[in-house]
This record gives sequence, structure tokens and C-alpha cells, in this order.
Amino acid sequence: MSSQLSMAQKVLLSLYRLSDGGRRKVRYEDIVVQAFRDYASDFHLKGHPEFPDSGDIVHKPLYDYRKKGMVSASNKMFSLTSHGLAEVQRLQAIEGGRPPSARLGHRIERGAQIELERIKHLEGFKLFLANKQDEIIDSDLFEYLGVSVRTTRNDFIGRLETVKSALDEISDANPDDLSLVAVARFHQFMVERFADMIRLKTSSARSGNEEETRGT
Amino acid sequence: MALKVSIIEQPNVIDDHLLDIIGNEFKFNHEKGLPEWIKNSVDAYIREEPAIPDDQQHIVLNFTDAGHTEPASFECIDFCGMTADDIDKALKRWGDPKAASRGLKKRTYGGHGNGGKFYMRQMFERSYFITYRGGMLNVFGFSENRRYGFARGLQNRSCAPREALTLAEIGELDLPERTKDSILTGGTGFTVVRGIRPDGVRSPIRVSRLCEKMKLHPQARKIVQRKPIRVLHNGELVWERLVGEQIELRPGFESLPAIPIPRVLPYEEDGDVEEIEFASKKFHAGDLSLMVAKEPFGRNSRVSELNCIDILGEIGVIASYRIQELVHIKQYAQAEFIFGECFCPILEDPKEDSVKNDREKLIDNRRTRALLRWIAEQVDEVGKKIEKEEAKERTLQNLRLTDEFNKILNTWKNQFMDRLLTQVLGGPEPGSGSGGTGIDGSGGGTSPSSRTKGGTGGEGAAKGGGAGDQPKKGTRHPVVLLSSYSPDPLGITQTVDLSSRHNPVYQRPQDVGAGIYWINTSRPLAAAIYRQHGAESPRWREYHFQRFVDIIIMEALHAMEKKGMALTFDSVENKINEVIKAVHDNALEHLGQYLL
Repeated sequence: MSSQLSMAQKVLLSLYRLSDGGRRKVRYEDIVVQAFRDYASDFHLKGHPEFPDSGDIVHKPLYDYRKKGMVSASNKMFSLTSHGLAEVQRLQAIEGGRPPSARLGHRIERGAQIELERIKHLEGFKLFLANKQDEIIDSDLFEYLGVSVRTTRNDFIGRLETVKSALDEISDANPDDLSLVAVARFHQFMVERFADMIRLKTSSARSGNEEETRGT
Repeated sequence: MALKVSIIEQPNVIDDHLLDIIGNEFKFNHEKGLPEWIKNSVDAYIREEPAIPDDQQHIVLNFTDAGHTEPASFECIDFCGMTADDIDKALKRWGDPKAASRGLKKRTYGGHGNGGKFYMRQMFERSYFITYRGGMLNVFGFSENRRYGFARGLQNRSCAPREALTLAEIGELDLPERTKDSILTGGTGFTVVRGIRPDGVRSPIRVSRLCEKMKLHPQARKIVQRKPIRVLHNGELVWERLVGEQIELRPGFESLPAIPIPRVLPYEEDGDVEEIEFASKKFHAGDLSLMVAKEPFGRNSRVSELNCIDILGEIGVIASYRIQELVHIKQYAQAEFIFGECFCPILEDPKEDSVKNDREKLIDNRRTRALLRWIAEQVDEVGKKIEKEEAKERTLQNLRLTDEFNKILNTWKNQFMDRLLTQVLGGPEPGSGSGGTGIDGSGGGTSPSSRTKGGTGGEGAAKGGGAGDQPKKGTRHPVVLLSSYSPDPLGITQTVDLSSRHNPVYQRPQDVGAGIYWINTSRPLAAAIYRQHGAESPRWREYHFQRFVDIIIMEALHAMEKKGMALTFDSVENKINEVIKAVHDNALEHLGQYLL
């Protein structure tokens, strides 16, 4: 069944196995070894099937997942986010030959629900509801996304993606829920009001707090 | 059958005692009376055809001390003159509002046609006009019995200009240039109003004091600014021209817009609210112009008289209220900076004339009460703006003081932060300071921007770092700045203004790379400590110091994350405690004089 998974998905599962099913930080080198152990035919060094490949074949998927908000990375240490854990659940189902939707729906919805509850308690959201948009400040954007000014570009993009997909997911499930409509409007407002800030944080130009070195 | 009555109207017969009754109400003092004479002189110029420019409407005040035989006297001289007919038709008439304009369609300062005459009658033993026009001299005045009339033999007396000047005893005075020539060539006449033995004046007459007070009087202020008034004492020149008081305006309040008076203002009495009209077909509503002086006028200063609102009529001031007389004012402290003018034409509506005889205060009625209340409200509005400005200035002053302490804290932090972080992160301690001078060149340093990698740091000359040649970015200490005060080093804005909702310590994304932190001076607790204790208080310094501690902790945590250290709750708690201990110990040693 594993053949149904892409190389990137296999890397994510290897990371999960190393994380003891949680969000523990894992060294890049260990992921390389784990991926080779789990899927030797996919992750061996070209021409040397007995040795693991530590290049882009493992590296790139991890950083792609980071931009999707599923993986956190710092100092060549990687860990799964709650969004990432939900994705692992889905992949495990596929790998195990089970239909992915049954468990997975519940798990993702729970993660999205947590995001939703967090947003509803934000001061910025309350100001938005009270029609006091003028009082909403840049710090509210960072709180909304659950990041800080120091958050690196890819993590910022990942969080933006996570919040957005959580809202999409819940909105699809409950299209008539008025509180969800308000959250969706709040998201739209924040993205528009702080478009410059978002551009600054997501632009590839280095702004002092950019990516830690990618070289591994 | 009812009696049909039709009265045959006759002229009023009025006893002179009525003049005493009204005159006493004037309660004249000389600084109030002299403007009445000056206004009459200005009106004389206004009536002239062709019109005389302001700067040629010369008026001379001459004060003569009492001599051995001669009593003291005051004189007011203009260079127009009156005929006997003018005296008969206008000067003689009491209480004629048209007297000053003589039926011409010109706006004049003379209001009820009483002020100047009452001043003569009530405040001098004797007084008279000596007036010369068209070759005819007339002397008309009040006797010791306060009854008026022409001087014997001096009614319509034909005489040459030089003789007129001699008779009037002004030929030898230091008069304005060309005025005497103009009289001598028949180009103009003149009027001398002379009051002899003024009430309550001792010799020598305190001319400076009298003129200072007079020029601040509401009835004289505007005239003094526009017309050349010369002052003589015993015939000698004292001031070539009286100069109006120039009030320096408060920066930021130089051009407050005039506030239109609403067409209708509410008037409340016993719970009933009535609407009072301030505009009609005949009168437009007018406006209020408020100004703010740079310095407060104070209650007893020389210029405290100017801390007032002048009520203007068609021409000139028809009443004036000191700010503290506006009973509805609430912003008293700020009102001491405010002065202004309210132009309200409807107050002169003959149907409900609100102008008093002496033009000091308005007649107390519903309209004037409604207006004065509204004026007080407008003064309060400006007062609130001043208060806001004052608070801003206080904040700025506090920030200035805070900035001094901030520099001290930045220096203190830079001196130990590297060592602290290294210690907290568990690495080897860096060398202390410059590392000394090694055998070959200078040692590596702690300079934040050293261009080359230093040696081992080391403990002195023996282990001094060499002159390395590998470029290395030096350690950059965070820079802590004050919001709304410190200039933005990145030049994105002038300074960073934060709201009370921003965090106590703030960074923009751009600040992170540059190592800049902003202490939010707008936080409610910060503002409250500022307000209640000031920037030099230990409480503020403690608050300020704690923000530095926050920043050092943040730097430490960030360094931990960067180093890949596990950020579990236990490790974070331990590191925070470690940092706080180290910071406090160091502060006690080096900042004790500021914090304790």
C-alpha cells in the first residue's frame, strides 16, 4: 500500500515514527536514516542501495511541509505540528489500506475546532465583532496566526496556511454557522488590513529574521 | 359713557439730578474715561470727508501736573474740530445714539452719546471743549456746578488759526508733524477736550501707569492698535505712539478658526428650555474668535485685563468679560491662556438692545445669558485642547528624562549581556573585554561590529587575541528605544507610536534583524506611573528596568531556540530564573544608585 504514497508523504510518516507519535523534535540526520529504514528502495543513495540518501530527496519535502504548516523546523531539528499530525493520520490510513476519511475527518475537524476556539477568544476578534476595527493593531495579526515577529518566513506561511485551511474545513462542514461566518469575515479583514505586513513576512527577501540556514 | 382721552405730547422735562444718578452709575475711573474721549476723537475723524487714513488720525493726550497756582489737567486733542452747530445738534444732547454719527451713514464708536460727556462732568472740577473749525472758535463745557454751556464770548468767535492755537494753549506743544501746519494753513481744525482738577489724581501724574492701564481697557485696545496716539506730560513728549499689547500666541494654536454662533441657542431656566434667536433677517449670527496666549495671563499680572472676551458690536467693543466672569467655565486653569472676541450684531437690535450705557457688561437678559453660556462652552472646548497639549508636553518631558535613564540601561545591558547569555546557554565564557594586546596585533573584542574574528578573548595580555583576518559579524547587542520619543533608526517612520494595546515591549518585523526593541510608553500602567509619579520616580525606573529584564529574557530564550536547545516548560522556567537572578545581581551592583 505504501506505493500509493508519494516520496514526500513517506518522509512525513518517517518523521512521525521518530516523534513517538507526538511533536517531539527530531534531527534531520535521524529522519534520513529512518526514511531509509522504512522505505529503503526509495531513499538509498544513487548507485549504492546499502546507503541512505541525505540530499534533497528528504530535505525538500520537509521544507514543503513546513510551508503548509505541517512541520516546524529550527536548527535542522524538525517536528510535526497539529496540522501535520492530522495529515499523518490520513496517510497512515492510506498506507494501511483503509479508507482515509473515517478517522481522519474527526481528527482534522478537532484540530480546526481548536483553531476556531482560539480565534474566538482573541481580543482582536472581539474588537472586530464590536465594530472597533480601528483599534485592531499589527500585534493582533501575529496573535491571530499564533506567531511572533520573529517567526521565520516559512513558518509564517505555514501558519497562515493552517489557519486558512482550518477555516475552510469548518466552513465546509457548517456553512450556516453564523459564528463561522464572522470568523471568516475577520480572516478576510485581517488579511486585507495587514496585507503589507503579510507581504513583508512572506517575501523571499531577507528581513533580518529570515530562515535559518538551509544547508544541511 | 367712557371718557375719551388723547394726550397732547410735550417734550420731557428732566431734572439735572437724573444726570447725577446716571453719572454715578458710570463709576468712572480715568483709565475708563480717557478711552471715551479717544473714541470721540476717532469718531470725529470718521465723520470727515474725504476719509482720513488710520495712520493720519492723530490724537494727542497731554497730562499737566498741578503747579503752585494751576491745578492738574488732562487733555485729549484731535485735529478735526467742531462747529457751534455740531455742538447744538449733537454734543448738547444726552443719550442720543445718533449723536456720534451726526446722521451720517457711517459706523462710529460713540454708542449712547454719553460716555465722554459724563467723564467730563463727573470726574473733573471743570471741563470744556475748545474746538476750532472753519475759522470759528467755540468753547463749550461744564461749570463747577456741572451744568453745561458755551463760554462767555467764546461761541462762534471768528479768529485766525494761530490765535486759535494760542487761545487753546496748544501752539507750543510737541504736536505730531504737519498737524500744526495744517491748522495754520486752514487745512484742518482741532478740538481740545480739557478736564481740570481730575478726581483722585495726585501730582505728579503717573502718566506711564495711567496709559498702560488705559491701553489695556477694552474700549481703547483696538483703537490703540490702529490709531496714532501721542502722549505728552507737561507738554513734553513721553510716547510718540502708544503701542498696543502684543500677546505672543501659544505654538500650535496660532490660527484657531472662528466659531460661528448658532442661529439659535438654548436658554434654560427652572428646567424650561427656550430657544433664543441669534440671527434674523436684519442680523446675521456672527462668530467667536478665540486665541491662546503662550503664557497664562494670571489674575494680577499687568496684562491680566486681556484674559477676557470682548463682545463686539457694529463698531468697537460693546462689553467685555474677564474669563473668570464667565461663570459656566469649567477649564479654569487652561482658560487663563485664552482671550478673544465675539461679534454678535443682534445684541444691538433696538427692539431688545443688550448694550449698557457704559459698555462694560451686557444688559442681563435671556439672550445675553444664553450667549455667555455658549461662549463659556467654547472656551472650555479650547481649554480641553490646551489640557491635551499640556499632557503631551508633560509626557514629552517625562520621555526626555526617561531617555537619559534608557541610555544608562542600554550601556549597562551591553556590558554584561554577552557573558550572561553565554553563561545561561552553557557555553564557554568569552574573554573579558578586548582581550589585551597579543604579540601580533590587537585582540578580538566585544565590539558589536568588529570586522575580524578575534582571538580567544582570553584573560589578558598573554592570551590576547591575534589580528585575525577572517571577516566575522560581531555580536550585536539589542538596542532598546522608547516609543513616541526615540527616532526610528530604520527610518521607516519618525518614531514608533504605539497604542495602549500594544505589548509593553514591542518589535516590528523589521526590528528583529536590527535587534531593536521598543518600550511601549503608552501602556496603561506606564502612563499611570508617569502621570502619578513622574519619570524620575523610583517607581518609573523600576518599571523601566523590568522591561529591560523582559528583553534580556526574550533574547535568552531566542538564543536557546537558535541553539537548538529543548524548550520544554522545565527548561524555560529554569532559564528564566537563571537570567533573572543574574540580571538582578548585576543591577544591584551597577544600577543601585538609580533603582534604590
